[in-house]
Amino acid sequence: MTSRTWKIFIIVFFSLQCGKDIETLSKTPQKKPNNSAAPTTASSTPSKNKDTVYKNPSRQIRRLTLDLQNRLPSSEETEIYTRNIDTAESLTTFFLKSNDADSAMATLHRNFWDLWQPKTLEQLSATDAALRTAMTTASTDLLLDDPIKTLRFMISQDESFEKIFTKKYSLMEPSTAIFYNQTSAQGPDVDTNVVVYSDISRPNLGILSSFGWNASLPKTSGSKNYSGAAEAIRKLTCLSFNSATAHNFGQAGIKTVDSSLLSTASSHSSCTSCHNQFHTLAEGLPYLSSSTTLTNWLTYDQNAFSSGIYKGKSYLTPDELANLISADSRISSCELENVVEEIFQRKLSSLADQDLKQILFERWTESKNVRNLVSDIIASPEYQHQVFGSAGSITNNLSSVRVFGPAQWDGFIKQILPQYTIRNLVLQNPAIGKSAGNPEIIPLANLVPRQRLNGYEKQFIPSEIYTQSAFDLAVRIADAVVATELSSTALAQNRKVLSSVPDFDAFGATSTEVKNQISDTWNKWTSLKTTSSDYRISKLYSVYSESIQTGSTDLEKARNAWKWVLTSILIAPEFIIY
Amino acid sequence: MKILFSLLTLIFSYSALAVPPKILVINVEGGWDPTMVFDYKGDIGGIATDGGALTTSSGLSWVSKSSRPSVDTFMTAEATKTIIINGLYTKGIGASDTIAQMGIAKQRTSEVYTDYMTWYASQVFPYLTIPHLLIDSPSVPGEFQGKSYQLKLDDVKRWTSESLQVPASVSDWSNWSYENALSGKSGTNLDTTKISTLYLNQKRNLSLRPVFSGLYNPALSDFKNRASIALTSFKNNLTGVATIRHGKPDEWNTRSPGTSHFTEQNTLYESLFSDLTWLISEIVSSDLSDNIVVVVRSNLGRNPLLNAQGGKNPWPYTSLLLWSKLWTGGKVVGQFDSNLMGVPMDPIFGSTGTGNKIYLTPDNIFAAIFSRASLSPSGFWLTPDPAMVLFQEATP
Repeated sequence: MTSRTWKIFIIVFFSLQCGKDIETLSKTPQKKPNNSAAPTTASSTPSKNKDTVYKNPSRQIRRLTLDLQNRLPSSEETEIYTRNIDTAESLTTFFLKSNDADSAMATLHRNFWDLWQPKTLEQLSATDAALRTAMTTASTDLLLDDPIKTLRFMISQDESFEKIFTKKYSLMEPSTAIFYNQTSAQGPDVDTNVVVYSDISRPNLGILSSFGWNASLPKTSGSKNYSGAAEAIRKLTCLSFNSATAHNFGQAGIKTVDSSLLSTASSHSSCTSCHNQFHTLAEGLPYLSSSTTLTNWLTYDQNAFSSGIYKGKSYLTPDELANLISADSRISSCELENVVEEIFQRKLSSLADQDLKQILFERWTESKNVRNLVSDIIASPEYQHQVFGSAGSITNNLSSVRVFGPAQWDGFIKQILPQYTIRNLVLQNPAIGKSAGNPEIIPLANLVPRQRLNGYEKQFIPSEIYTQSAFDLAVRIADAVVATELSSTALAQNRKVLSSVPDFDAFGATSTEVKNQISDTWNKWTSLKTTSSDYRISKLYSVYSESIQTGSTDLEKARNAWKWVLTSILIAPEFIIY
Repeated sequence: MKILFSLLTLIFSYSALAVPPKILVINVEGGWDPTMVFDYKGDIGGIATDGGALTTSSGLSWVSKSSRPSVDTFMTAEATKTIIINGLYTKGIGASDTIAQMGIAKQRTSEVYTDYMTWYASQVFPYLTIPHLLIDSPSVPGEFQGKSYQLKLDDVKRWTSESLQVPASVSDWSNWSYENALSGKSGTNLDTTKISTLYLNQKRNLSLRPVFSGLYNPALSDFKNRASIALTSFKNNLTGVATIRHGKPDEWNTRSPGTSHFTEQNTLYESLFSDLTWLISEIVSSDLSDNIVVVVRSNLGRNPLLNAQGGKNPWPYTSLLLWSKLWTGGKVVGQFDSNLMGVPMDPIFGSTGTGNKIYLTPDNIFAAIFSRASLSPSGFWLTPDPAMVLFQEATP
């Protein structure tokens, strides 16, 4: 029995066993947080209009699948769910227990993976010949994926969230082992290796000790460690120490940069709020090490500070430090907030949001179990309303609109182009003028507005930052699909997308075949049921008709035509909004 | 009599201009050292300087040194249109360069508020496709972020090399499908606000890409390309305000210099002022010079003292340079004290002895510039006192 068959079987099984009216579900979360009254606001009150609740079941399953598994539902799943609309709860439960869900839940912790700054790695390797040799684009990508792999593994083991800071290992790929000064050490029961920190004298701080995570911190030179430390603390605690007065010595009452700075700073809250409370934490992080976090601050008067409050301070042992971090409620609160915002795709801002966060936090602190947390969030009235409620009934509430974010793009690309990742779409096909021997790597980082990479991400809902780049991404995905699926040897039966047009270059496809292919792809990607005579399909067919004119060979013409048809589908609101 | 004259000047300054000026902002990232060009401190002990000599032309004073001939060339030629502001307090000395950038761009580190230029652009150029165009510059989020568009020169280069010709039918499809979604015809039944944002982004992607991709000139430096794109966008009424970066990100951060602080900043200043001279000639030849303001700003200043690495740490007081035909230049406003901190002054009359003395901040400067378009940030910013001293004519 294939895994797809298994899934269908399980869905059908649950469909038969666990019938529950979806309207009831929307009013009664499957795990009601702490038995407290759910926050009731205009934005979080479920719709009671049965007609609207049942209005668009295919869109509902699309949302659940994209949110909880980061992928599009198969047509079989959509079909089954549509026929068995009662099974929302069992379906949700099923989704949360799958392997895909482990990955999806790991990606919700964007603090641990989302700020990708390969420059740091370049600088790291610049001083180490062995690392420089080993650092290919592929290994860099894999290295940056280490934290998320580790997190995914811990979630799959139902480990407490706190343990991600106290685990003595990171998962790693064989090609990234050299970054950890390792050759190969077999890890837990996954297809990756493991690096044990005790073997290489690195602090035991769980995934925070991984190179991948540290590489995500913005520091562009050795003198920027202070920024890295501040950013690490900000990412972990959701607290900003970059207040207007934090480093304004004038406002702190310090007139000159001499020893008076020390005496004032050591008792001034704008200094000590960060330096005292988080000094140990910042200094414990690898590459933000020891005195550099304060040196820059202290250099205003080296002599004064050489005998200052931090001189000779002995830091906690790595294990103690790890425990300190894992027990810090600010960190778990921050992580909760991040996960909720990632799922809701909006900032938590209203008073009702704070109530909801409080309820979730109480349950979260009981178990620190990520799976339970996600389960609680999707059982909340807000999520239930977003997914199952009628958008029309909550006018002026933007939260009902969900947009393809990085996780959804990533999952989608994996579905149709298994050989690619969102981080790099390797463009090496003649159709776009790149030579096979010299592939151009387009990191996702290049597609994202710079401010996202520099730490402003808290301002945005996670998905929003990618909308500016959606067109670029769509073109690249479409390019990669046609390069993969249309060639002199390509057989239609082996294609994942263009399976309804003829073998090889598909240039001679009839208008019926083309329209069928367009409507097949449209329906699969949008979860809509559109016939090939629909006006949208006709409109897309006009894109095909125009684009097929461009190119010098049949293959070029066909690739061009399908590239723009697929791009058009990928930028359509019916696809990008879910 | 002097006060009366100043008040008249003030009233005149607030009067509306027929067409609001376009603004070109040049970001010098990382923090320049004002003592090397803008304020001579070579005669003050306790401040490490690069020497040179104070020079004056048409009322404008600057630090002249033979190793920076382009500074002299620019200042001499453009003195009557140039204003230097010294002792400007940026709040920029923070934990990260982005925070420092926010300090100069909007004078507050909160991410909730928009930056000055986007606010201005949203007020006076709301009808343009890109009210505020940022090229390789930090976009500061806020209420008006839909009014700004971030463009990366690398993207323009890539678009040029890819020669991506988007078929008209794809643009048609995109417009059509989003209009359907907005009108509820597509079956999405979703809120329109976010769809509108997506629509705007898609339209920009589809319509601006071919516009910008044709603007990259490999024969020019990156800065000149950014400037050319900005000026072309002005001329084609694509944008009203543009913010561009000079040089590389954080290039002026000489905290840990490879050679020495002064050597590196000397090279950077020489390059900057050489480019500014080129820029002014481009502005003139583009027929934009009659109604444009050029702002050259740095997010930070640099510490009065050298550190152990031979560099200078960041410092919250800095300088700013303005160029425009819209005012009488040839003046230096504000000053640094002997500790290289700003000297509090009256933003209206420029007095440092009496009156309502404050530390000059970007708030005051930009409020004054925006007053040329009859805009008052009162009610939007916390401290809207416009530094009208900028526009005072010399007492007859």
